Amino acid sequence: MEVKSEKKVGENPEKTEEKNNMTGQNTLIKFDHISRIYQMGAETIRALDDISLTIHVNDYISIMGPSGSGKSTLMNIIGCLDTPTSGVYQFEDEIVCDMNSEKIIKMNDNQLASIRNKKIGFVFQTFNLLPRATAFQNVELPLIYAGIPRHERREKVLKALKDVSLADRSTHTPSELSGGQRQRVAIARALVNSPSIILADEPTGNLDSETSREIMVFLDELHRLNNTVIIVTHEPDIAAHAHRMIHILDGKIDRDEINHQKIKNPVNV
Amino acid sequence: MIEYFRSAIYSLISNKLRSALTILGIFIGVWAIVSMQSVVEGFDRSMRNMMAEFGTESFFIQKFPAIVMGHNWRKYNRRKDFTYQDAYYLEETGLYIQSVSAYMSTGAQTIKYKDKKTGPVVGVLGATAGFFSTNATTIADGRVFNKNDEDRNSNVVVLGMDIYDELFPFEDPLGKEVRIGNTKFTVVGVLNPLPGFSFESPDNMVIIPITTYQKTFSWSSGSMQLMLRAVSTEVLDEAMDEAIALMRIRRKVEPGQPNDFEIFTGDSIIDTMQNMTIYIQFATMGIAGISLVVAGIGIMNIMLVSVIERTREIGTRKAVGAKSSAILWQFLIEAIILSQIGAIFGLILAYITSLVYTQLVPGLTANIPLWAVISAFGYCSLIGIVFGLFPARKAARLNPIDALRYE
Repeated sequence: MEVKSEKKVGENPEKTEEKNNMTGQNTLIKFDHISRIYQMGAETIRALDDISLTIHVNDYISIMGPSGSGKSTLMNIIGCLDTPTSGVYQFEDEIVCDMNSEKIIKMNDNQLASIRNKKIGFVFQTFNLLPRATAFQNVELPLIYAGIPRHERREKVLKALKDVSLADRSTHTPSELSGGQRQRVAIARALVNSPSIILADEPTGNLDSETSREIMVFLDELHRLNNTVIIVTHEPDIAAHAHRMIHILDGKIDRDEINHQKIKNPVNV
Repeated sequence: MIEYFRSAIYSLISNKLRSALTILGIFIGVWAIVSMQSVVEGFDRSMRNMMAEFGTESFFIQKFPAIVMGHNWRKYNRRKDFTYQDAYYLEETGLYIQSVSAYMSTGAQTIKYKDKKTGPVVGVLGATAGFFSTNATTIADGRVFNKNDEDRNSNVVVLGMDIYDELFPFEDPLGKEVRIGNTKFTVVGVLNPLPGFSFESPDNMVIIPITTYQKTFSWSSGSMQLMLRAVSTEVLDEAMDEAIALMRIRRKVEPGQPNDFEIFTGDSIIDTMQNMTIYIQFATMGIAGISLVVAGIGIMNIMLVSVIERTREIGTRKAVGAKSSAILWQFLIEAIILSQIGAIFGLILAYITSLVYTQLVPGLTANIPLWAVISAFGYCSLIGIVFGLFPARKAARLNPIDALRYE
């Protein structure tokens, strides 16, 4: 795979498309003038302000920004947990919502749930594992909602747990696992449905530096295996693992740059 | 759907204490209703059996109806008392009437023999000599008392089986003297076990001549009851008509006036009992309904707490792709399963209660009717659905972003 194209703020989306085609990259996610406005009483908060962004298959992106910058909102919209107030959001070849055209297109809750289930793998700062369920049951969850039969689920879950080196911990509940192991279970859960994109929201925020490194090795590996990975973080050294770094400030993209250090020595040749 | 059940059961198991507390209300409700139902049914059945034992040719005359409801008591109390002379009159005059017995009774007496004594729980029945033939009782030993004993107010007594067992375990009671209160009685006979039932065994009693009874228990006066036996089952109606006519004349009831006494057969008692049973059943249904609604509110309450407590779990489930309907079903099924488990435990305890009751009350067989089992499950499902729906909807409508961030 080739080196990614650099994309500048405010760049014409069509032009980007052209460029993608030229470089042979497939567009995974396309934001077209997306805004997200919250109405808090009399106050209007522009959490996202006219953002346009293209994410390609096998991108490894870090989203950085101070708290309140809108990076969580961006994450939520990418993750189909939230929908924008205006703009067009395209995920693969599906329009998640199009608030700009005359006829507003917006996926309903069930369609969004289905996208989250099949296309997106979430990794949270607080792991968000079901506390009383075993590692196996936690990883199994997305497959249950996908309606996959039991024997197939078993196979997939065991494979996912093996991929995060936790095959021998499948019957343990989160309280019996270390922080790093919990996050690995969460990663296994995110991977088990073979999603198009992994969204990691401060994946190392609750971990010590040693364990953080361990988790980042997993995420690097996921990227190497042709997965698309997005990390939201405020730690520069975590963000430095990504090949493309997006800085958000006041709901706008402040900087969107290639991590030259990584690209010079690309992992995926 | 199977998955929802599996995960619901799993989540209930992992919250054992809370689940147990939630089902407690349903459990007690179902237990109370079903065991009550089983006792009422058992009572009904035993009554029927007892009446069958009296024979289809028996009927009764008395001052009060078999069951007096409420304030009518005064009206009946003004009626003329029945005496044992009425019994003799009917027996001598009636063509279709084979035998008549007058009797009255008092409870809570102590029978003593030498240094032995019974508890203060023995019933003393004063009866005319005709009692033994009218009631189809049989004698185990000795003799019954006769008209002669009655005329002379003899202090003779016929013992029920229980009294015999208690006072004369190794002795022949015939001719021995027992004391009821301070009065001495000579034992002349022992009865075979009697049909019937109550909390006390029917054999826990003694029978003395009616005249002696009136003398000894003068404080226990009042109207006697008459038990009549028709010549045969075929002429039961004739015998009853005859008894009514004779009593109206004897008690000087004007033509056109209603009878100033009650006459009924064993069957009519059963009918009355059945009406009673229906009332009791309606009452229990009402109480049942209310108690289970209260239990349902308990379920709703705990489900609401559970929804709040599991907000993050709901957020996580939604993030990994659970549709709102899946969350709704998860909580609804939990509520239904809780109520069903309550019903199951309630039924089990009700079954045990009915067994205990059957053991405790001789002659009464308490049984859980099938319809009670089915309606317990049905009603509890309904309770689970109705009271689970609100919390389940609340859970299903949670916004995943807020739910994920919930602390």
